[in-house]
Amino acid sequence: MKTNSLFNIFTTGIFKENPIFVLFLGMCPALGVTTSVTNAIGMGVGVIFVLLMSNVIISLIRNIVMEEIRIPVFIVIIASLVTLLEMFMKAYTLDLYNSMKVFIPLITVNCIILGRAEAFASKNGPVKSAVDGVGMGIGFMIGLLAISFFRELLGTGAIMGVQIIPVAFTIPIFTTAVGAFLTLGVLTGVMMVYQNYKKDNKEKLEKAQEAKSEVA
Amino acid sequence: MKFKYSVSPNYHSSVDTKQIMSSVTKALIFVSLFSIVLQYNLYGMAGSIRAILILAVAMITTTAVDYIYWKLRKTSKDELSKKVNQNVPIITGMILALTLPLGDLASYEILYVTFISAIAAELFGKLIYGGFGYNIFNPAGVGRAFALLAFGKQLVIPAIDGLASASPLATMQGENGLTEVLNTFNNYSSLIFGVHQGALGETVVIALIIAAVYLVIKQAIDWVIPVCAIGTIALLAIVDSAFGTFSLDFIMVHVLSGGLIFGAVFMLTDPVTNPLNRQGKIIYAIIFALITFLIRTKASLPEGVVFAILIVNMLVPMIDKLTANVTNEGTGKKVLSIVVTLGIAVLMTVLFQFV
Repeated sequence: MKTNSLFNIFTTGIFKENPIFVLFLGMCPALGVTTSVTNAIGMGVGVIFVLLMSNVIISLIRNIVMEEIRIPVFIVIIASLVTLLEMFMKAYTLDLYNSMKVFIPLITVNCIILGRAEAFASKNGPVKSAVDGVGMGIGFMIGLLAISFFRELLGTGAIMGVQIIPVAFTIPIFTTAVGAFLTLGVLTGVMMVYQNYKKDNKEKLEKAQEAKSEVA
Repeated sequence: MKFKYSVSPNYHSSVDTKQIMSSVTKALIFVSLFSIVLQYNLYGMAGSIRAILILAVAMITTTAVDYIYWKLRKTSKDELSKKVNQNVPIITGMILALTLPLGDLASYEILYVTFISAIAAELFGKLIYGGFGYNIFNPAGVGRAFALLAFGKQLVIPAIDGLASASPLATMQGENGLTEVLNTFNNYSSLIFGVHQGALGETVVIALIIAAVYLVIKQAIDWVIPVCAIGTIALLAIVDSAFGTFSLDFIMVHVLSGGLIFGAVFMLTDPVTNPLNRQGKIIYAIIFALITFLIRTKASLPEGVVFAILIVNMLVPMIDKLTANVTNEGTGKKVLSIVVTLGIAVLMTVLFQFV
């Protein structure tokens, strides 16, 4: 597989460079909005939309914009996209809008969006940028979903209105900021353990193959 | 004044970590038994059964978490029990259980609280850092703080027949707190004999003092830490009461009530989270006392021992850096640094009178 193939760009955002568990970008919504799975889905979809659009637009204008003023230009594009998203949410999903409120305009300053614009979209064509935007967005959403799943389950005992753990056995600390940091830390730790495990296995396999070829 | 230098966990001293841990375990068992008897006096059979259950749940949970963790780390079968023993999960469990209250005697919610906070203590307090010897914070303190933040409502102390409800330190926070405390608790005789509300291990003052003396004789703990911590609290209480109606009873109430003696003897002296030398230990104990006293008198919580222990644990690397490489030369400097720390503590207590 070529390192630059579209499929590779797509999966990079989900696994190898997951915005939340590997790059640690966009921590503000990851800690603030993840009190419930519904919020996480709303935020995830919003970020995917903004990321896709901003990546495409920025990669289209990348040759016109001057080096010196690129950051303000990117910010203006991202901010107008976020304003658009906010208006749409206010019009069609008012409940979700009310439960997320200040975090929607804050998508503008979400590091992952400007980060992808600067690191990827300003150097690659529109198709690749679009794929990268969707991949990163999905990776971001997976992170939000994982954190919010554990927080909602342990903190309130219910997932999207379905009571799974009896209320007497919930641990309310997980709905607070402390719980957000704990969940994020433990999940990142688990991801790291898994990656190290995979790496070790790969090295063992390579060593075994080397030994085999030496014997042969 | 001479300062002895000993690196924890005391490679060169006559006792090794194993012996220290076995004497601490013995002392904890003694305190637990005393506490179970006391709970029988206060609440009857239900009280002592509940105390035994809390202790059992905490110890079994910490040990089980340890086993599962090392199993997941793929430790070989022969090493498994050795690793778990090295981690002393039983001590963490026992200390945690002794800092918890009995809870509502009618329901068993407190056992669930014990279970969850024991997992937090062992996992987040100890194993995440790599096990016993690498932890920054006192594991039992982490568990207790987790319990307080997560389950504030369930941590109730059942009322004792013929006594006003609130614990002495909570009563102190009200208006005319001191006179009320002295009236309710018969001029602190009931504080000494533990006839008041408190956590399992807090109220057994006599047993705690016997255990402390035993641990000092066995060289398991350094006597300067509890002595300096409790002494500083007494000093700060004098300073504090000098601004109102001066009374020595104030000192007795501050020293005898709450988790101060338990925390100073069993949690503050944890060999892993201690500064390396005597001078550092004295500064460490003074800062602990200052934070505890400020939380007790100025913050919204009645008791601050656990949080003070965690905060002062955070400062240990700094204290160690400050007091590194000190030999027996330049004693004047060391005494000066201790006096300065104590002076700052007193000054802050004075300043906080006007806040």
